[in-house]
Amino acid sequence: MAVTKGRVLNQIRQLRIQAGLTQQELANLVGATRQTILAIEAEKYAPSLELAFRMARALSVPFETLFQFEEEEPGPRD
Amino acid sequence: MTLTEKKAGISLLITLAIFAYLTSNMIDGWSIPDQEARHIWRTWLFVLALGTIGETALHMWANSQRERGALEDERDKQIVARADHLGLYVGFIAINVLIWQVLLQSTYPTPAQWTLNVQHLPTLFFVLMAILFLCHGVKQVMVLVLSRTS
Repeated sequence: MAVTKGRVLNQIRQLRIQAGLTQQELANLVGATRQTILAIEAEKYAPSLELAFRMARALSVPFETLFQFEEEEPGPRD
Repeated sequence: MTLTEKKAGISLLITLAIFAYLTSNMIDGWSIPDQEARHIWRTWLFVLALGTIGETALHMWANSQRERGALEDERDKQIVARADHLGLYVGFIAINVLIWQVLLQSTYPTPAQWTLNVQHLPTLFFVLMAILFLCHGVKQVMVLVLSRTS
């Protein structure tokens, strides 16, 4: 069975703003750089499981609320 | 700017400075003249010493920055790994081009004008050193580029 491609989406930006945190403050809470938070929010970088769980804990939300996996529709060749 | 970017930028400047020293010692205009073996040995030792001193100083500075709270996280490590891979790939291609030149000149002993004269020791030395600098330079440039784009 062919595995379709997918991408990881996240709600970090909205939840971080709701929590009243800046990118730098969230970065300090999870032990990452501000640039990493920026890249994750822009969905340019998918964090490791450890960092993802740290972010969920820092924002006090379940992991599934923070991250979603979107599977791409298979093309005609797939 | 992250510590990884700062380190890459400074390392790139050190590399360019040492390469400028190497070039000024080996090249006369657009050609590489005959050099005494002693001169080539001395140049190589100087380049090695300057590189070691520069990178050690950079390492010490980075350690002091870490003690002050500067951070290198998983994304930085991933960027450095990707840049390392690209630097290695460039080196692999450059060495293969050099091997191709050696084989070409062993097949046709009189070097054509557009080939590197690898039978000339100072030329071979300069080209090999330039490949080392190229690999390191590409790695540092890629760290800077990937830090901004990925």
